[in-house]
Amino acid sequence: MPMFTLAMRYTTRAPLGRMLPFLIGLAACSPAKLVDTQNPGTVVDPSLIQTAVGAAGLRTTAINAVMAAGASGAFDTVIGMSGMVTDELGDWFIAGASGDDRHLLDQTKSINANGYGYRAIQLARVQIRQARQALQAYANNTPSVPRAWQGEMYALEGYTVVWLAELYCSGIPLSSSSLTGAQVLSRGLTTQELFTVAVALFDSAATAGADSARFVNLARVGKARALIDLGQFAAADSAATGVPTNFVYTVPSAVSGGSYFSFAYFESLGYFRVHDHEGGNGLEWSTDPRTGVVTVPELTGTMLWPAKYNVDSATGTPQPTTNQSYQSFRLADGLEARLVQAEAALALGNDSWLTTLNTLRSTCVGSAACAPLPGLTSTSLPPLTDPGADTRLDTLMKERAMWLYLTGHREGDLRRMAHVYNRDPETLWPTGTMVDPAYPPNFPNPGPENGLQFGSDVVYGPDTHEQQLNPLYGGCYDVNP
Amino acid sequence: MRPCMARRFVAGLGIVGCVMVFGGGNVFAQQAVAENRATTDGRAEDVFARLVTVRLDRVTLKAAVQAIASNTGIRVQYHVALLDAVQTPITIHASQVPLGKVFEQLLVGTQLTAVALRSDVVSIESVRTSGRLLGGVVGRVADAATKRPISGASVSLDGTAFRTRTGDDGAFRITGVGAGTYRLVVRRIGYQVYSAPVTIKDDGTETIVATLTAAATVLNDVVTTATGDRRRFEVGNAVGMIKADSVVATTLIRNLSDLLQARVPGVIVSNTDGAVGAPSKIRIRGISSINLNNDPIIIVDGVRLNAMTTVAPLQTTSGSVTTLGQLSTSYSANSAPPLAPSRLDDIDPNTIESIDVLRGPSASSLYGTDAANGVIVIKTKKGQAGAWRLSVTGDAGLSFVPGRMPDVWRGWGSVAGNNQYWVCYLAAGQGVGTVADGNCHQDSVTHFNVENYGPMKTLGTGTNRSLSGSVAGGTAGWQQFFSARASSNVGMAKMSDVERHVIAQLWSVPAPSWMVHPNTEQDFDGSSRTTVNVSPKIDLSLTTTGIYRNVLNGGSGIQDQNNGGVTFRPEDSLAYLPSESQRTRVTSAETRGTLAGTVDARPWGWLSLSGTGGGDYGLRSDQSDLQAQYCSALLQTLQNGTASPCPSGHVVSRGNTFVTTTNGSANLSFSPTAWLNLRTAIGAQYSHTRYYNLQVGNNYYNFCTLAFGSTLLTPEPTCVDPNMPKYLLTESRDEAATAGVYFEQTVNLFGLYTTVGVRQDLASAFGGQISKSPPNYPKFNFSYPLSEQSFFPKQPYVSSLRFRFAYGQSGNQASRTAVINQYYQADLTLAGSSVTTPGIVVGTVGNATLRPELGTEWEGGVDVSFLDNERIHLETTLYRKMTRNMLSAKQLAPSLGNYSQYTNLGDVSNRGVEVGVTAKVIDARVMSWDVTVNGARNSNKLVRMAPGIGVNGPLNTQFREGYPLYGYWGLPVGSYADANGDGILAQNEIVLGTMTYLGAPYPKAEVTYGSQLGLLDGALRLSVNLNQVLDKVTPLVLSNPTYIPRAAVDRTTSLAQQAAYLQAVANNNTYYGASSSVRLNEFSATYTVPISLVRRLHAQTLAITLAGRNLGLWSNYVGKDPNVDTSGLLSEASQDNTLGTPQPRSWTFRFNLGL
Repeated sequence: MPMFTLAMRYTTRAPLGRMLPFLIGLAACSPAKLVDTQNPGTVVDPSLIQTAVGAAGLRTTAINAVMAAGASGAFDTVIGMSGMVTDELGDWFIAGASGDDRHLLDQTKSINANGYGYRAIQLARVQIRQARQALQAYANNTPSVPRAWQGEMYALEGYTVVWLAELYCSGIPLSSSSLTGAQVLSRGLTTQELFTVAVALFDSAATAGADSARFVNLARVGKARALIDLGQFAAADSAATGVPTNFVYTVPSAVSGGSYFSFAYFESLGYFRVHDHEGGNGLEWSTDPRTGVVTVPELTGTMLWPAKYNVDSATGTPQPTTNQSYQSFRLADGLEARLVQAEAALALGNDSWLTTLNTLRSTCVGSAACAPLPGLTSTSLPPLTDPGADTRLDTLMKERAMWLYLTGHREGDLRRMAHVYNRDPETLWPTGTMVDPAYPPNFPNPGPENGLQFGSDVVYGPDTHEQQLNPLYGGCYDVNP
Repeated sequence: MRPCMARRFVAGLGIVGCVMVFGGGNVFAQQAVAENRATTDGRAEDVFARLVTVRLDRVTLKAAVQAIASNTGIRVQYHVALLDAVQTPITIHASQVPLGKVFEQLLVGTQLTAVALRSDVVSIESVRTSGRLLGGVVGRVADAATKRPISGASVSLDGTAFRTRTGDDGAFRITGVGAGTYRLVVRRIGYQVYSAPVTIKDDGTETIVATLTAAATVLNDVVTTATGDRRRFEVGNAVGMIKADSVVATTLIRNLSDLLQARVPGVIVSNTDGAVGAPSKIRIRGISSINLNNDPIIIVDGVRLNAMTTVAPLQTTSGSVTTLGQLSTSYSANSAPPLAPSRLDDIDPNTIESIDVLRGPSASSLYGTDAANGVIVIKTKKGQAGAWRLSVTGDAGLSFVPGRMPDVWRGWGSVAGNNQYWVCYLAAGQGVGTVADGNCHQDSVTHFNVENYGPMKTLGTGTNRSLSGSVAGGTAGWQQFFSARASSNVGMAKMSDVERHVIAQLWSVPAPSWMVHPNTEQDFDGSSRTTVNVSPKIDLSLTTTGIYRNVLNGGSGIQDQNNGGVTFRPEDSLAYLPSESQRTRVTSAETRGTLAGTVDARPWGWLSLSGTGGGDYGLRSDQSDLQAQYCSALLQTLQNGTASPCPSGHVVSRGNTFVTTTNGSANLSFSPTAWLNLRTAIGAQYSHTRYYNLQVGNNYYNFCTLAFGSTLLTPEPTCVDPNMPKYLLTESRDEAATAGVYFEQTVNLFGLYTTVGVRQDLASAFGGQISKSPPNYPKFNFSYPLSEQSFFPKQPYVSSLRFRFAYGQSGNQASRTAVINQYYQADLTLAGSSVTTPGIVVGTVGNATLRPELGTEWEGGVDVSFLDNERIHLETTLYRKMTRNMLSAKQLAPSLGNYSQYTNLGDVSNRGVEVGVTAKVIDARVMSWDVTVNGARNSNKLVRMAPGIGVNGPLNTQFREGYPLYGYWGLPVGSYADANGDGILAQNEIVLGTMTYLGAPYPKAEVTYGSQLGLLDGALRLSVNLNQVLDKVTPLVLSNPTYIPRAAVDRTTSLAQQAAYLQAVANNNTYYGASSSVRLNEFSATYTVPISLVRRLHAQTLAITLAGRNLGLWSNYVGKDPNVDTSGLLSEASQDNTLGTPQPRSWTFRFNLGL
């Protein structure tokens, strides 16, 4: 009975666990190879990351992530978020979503509670970190991959941290995810801690990017920005001192393959508008040439459109801003360095603040010496006179606001006025009854926010996903300016 | 010795020789009937050829002989003692049967024989009277279908004590039998009783090969398992069977999805659209996964096929080209792109013999890591030994829109301070003001749907034509089957008459046919199946199939709501200008070849070996072509206000899919005793799928002209805007493989079949190293066919009874991308630079610790048949399937960088009951009536989700513990009252509750009722199939212009209807009410033309069929079709089906001619 013998051997003498490898061996000499499939073609071979070419590729997309977080969207990017909650922009179309109504902490109303902007900034921050790690680990100092790029990455990371500190409540985590996927979650850092982290990053940037004056200046401006937010005016002045006024660092749009400058909601529907004197406290933007605001005639009136990001290359004339895939986003420049110095001087009781401002007004509109804002052809503005101690700060902040219109600085400025200079927030942010900006005849009824009351929030609130997914994160420590 | 004057008739062998005839005298009795006297002329053996009619019930042999003699008029002489010695009662019914055959039946096993003495005289004698030596019979018993030996079969010479049992090799031997004619009887559970006469000669040994045919009972059906064919009663799990051959012959079956729909309990087939070529979604025993595929795997003739129904949409130029199913909707970014045809439907249903559906891990364990969603095992038709047969089938049919489409309601009025005419909603909607808030002064209400108005209709009459043929035949050693099919289907979609007129005016030429009928499908198939019996121990079979299938799905009908929309303002003629989507021709062509080869060897009776290898290669070529020539400056001016250039664009996508399968298995059987049988199966299986896709194209807004030559991009494209990229090139590749070994042991102990087995798998997604503890998939089941046991009482009430239980596990693997860290190449062209900069994007984070989704299922059931011949058969199965380690792309904390990561993070439960009943209500020759009821109920639940996981689906779908996957959630109506008495329920007059579970996108239960009526001796067969779907939520989206209910605009509607409308507005503008429906799914009438008429056509058979499909629908769903799900393939959640085309109502005429 040979068959019986064979069958019994299987069942009685050779446990399955010992038989299976044998059977696998019968099936193929190396069964593991049978299922050792290639990585999908859509995925870059992970080994490429561990080369200078891979590191350079990571840097390219990291810079583009700064564009994504800063300017590739309407109200969910740094420029949009800063503009909506402050007096820079008005929204007449989306009730309780854009942040224009200052109901920023009501998660049932604010779509920013779902973290589109927050995610974009954090994504940029982590991608920049990973690119820097790759550059440090796999790219030597070569002409094609200079060491100074590492400094650039430090600096850009610093800017993302500054954004988080300026826009959000106190208590934002800075978790890390390494190139290999190792993840370390972080607790929330206070606003002050965030600025301190940013300062350290800018210091590292200056060191690592020492070979490049451009990157050093990028770090200096960022450090100066963080330091005035901390109220460390002398240090801020020191940081900004060496930055030439014509310095500019721009983040380019990707014409294809990546993020580009996009203010979709300024498109033909005109949901977002420039709003003079928004909420009573707002500035008048349309009359200052530095803002690049244009007046667009409509059948029943006019509309104010931001235009500084859409300058006709042929005529140099600003056009109503829509989607501009060719438009660069100015992250830092020498103007800001001077403005920081002016503010530091004012805070430290130095009269040079007014001189500095007037120098800018007389030389920096349309002048190559100051890295002119494109399309602004006026050669000078009349000088300012000292308004007196009570309104010097307002005068200076207005100058900052006009020079830095729609660059993502306004929210930080208002918070600093409240936090550092102890101004009442209700005198800074828009208040009272919301009034829609002019609307075109295609929309005969006022928008949904018209007639509602501005809220009292001054910072963006905790990200709901962060709260759900980060066990170390408990939300805002405080929601103060 | 007397002269040879008589011939002995030997049963079964005719006249074998001249024998001595013993003398008569008084020891013989003679019977004669004068009035029926036979002639004495002619040969003696002619007496056996006389046709006689006999009907005897349980009489003695002597009485039988006397009756025959009496009825036929012949004389029969015999020795009384010989006949009296035979006590076995005899029953014989024969009509016009040769007398020799009658005597054969009478005398089998009696040691007696009939001898023709004269042409009217027969003598019955003992075969032992000469005192000859003893003989015997040896032989082998085998399965008629598989040729495999059958062990343990009972072999006997009927009416004698000679009996034995076959060994493992199916062999038997009976010796010591006296010469004579006997009846050899072979019995084996699950087979029809084999009975054949055998003549044993003196001192001789007869050799018999008895082939047993499976008994035509449900329990004895042959089902396919991973280890080979088994009788159903041996297998502990339920197996759904579709006898495709008979279904296709008499029913309107357009594709394999039709064949699977509503035939097996627990198998839900959801249509995505009524368009020709639209895919269907097949789900078995519920869904188990959020992120992984819920499709079953498909095995055809032992080889795995690419039959994914969840496939990527067709490529389009702009991403906003609508499918043909979305005819009455807008050309907008919200429209889903056309879904690609299901590769499952490439298979020609005419070539299928049967389908076995293994419904879950309890049945599919040995199929391993990919089989947790079930396995559909398809057997194709094979050739049969014998004369060549040619079969030709032709179809021609029409399809129509089933009834009226729901109207879109509009309220009209004015807005203060504006002189235009505005849409006025009562309380909420997409207008500028409402009647309730006083901002819109309504003066009229209208309702309209383009599809209900002739000149504007974009759904018309579809046609289908098909011609298929097959040739089958062969010899005992070689059988061959060829088939071929050509079919052409034209969908209901059409360009409206108004549009055709406008186009003719604009272009001065008629619109091209593909615009007029923009949804068509052509199929060309050919297949060959060869079976070679190399020797009694070796069989070879080879199957090859070639398929070409081309689906046109582009150039939609009425479009562009921005121009007013036909349901918005019918008088707006601009609505009928051909839009870009209409001018886009979207096609998907599949060229495919499959090969499957199998070797079966039976070197010894106790061992059988089987090897299968094959592959399935498919080349899918999609094209989306926005053609500028079907445009004009005038058209652009009319549509855009300016004479902008006519856009053009072209995307070509070519994808290869290559699936290979290699199987090897050995089955060992052993029967030490009559009450014990052991069978061991070992085997290995390897499956490998490779996918490659290349897409080249440009976006239409770049206004580039692409030329696609053999190298795709020769010559270089030219663009109006030189700054634009000339083309986009996208390449993708993916690969998956599994390799497993399995072991299975079956023990048949006293008729109780117990099977244990395990498969160990390596799968590509989880690493190839065996040291990584590859998963084991165990199984255990038992089957106890109680009615087959000897002690089971033979009674007329319960004809068969079986208890079964099965337990098993199988898996579902993720893509390899779930395991590795993903980095994507994203080359950037930065502003101000003409150089493309290489970029790398960090994607999802891999998870090297992933495990496959593990499906664990148990099921238990009872199969019972009542009355004779299984007049009523009932199968009931209870199951519970628990899917652990459910994989999902877990969102990571945003501060980690917006990554997601695949994680094993949940458990899903599916439990349910499946019941199938078949009843032969009437079973007479002149009339038969069969009734079939199949029902299944499934309860799906997310049992566990890792804490902190935020996984949300589209629309209002959510994943919450304790509720079904993809459950719909929304705000219920709490209370409402018309406080101000204006007849309008304003938004401040209704209170909505908190977020509540509203239902699931798949039915709780489905019941199918079938009835088959046979008339005119079976020549006319009528068949009806109704399908009932219970409690399925198909979202109905409020959308301009596809669906606005009356309650939105008409104050005469009830407050309850207005409340429901406001509830829908609050729930993402969507109704989420559960609906139920009953559909008259199929009707067919088949008439088999009488043979006398057919032979005048020099044919063998002719059947004509009139078949209808979707002939009626009764539902409380107010949308187009509750079982149409326009984007459901890409998600388990049903989506807005207002965009979809309803299932067509179809009639088809068919003939089947056999030559």
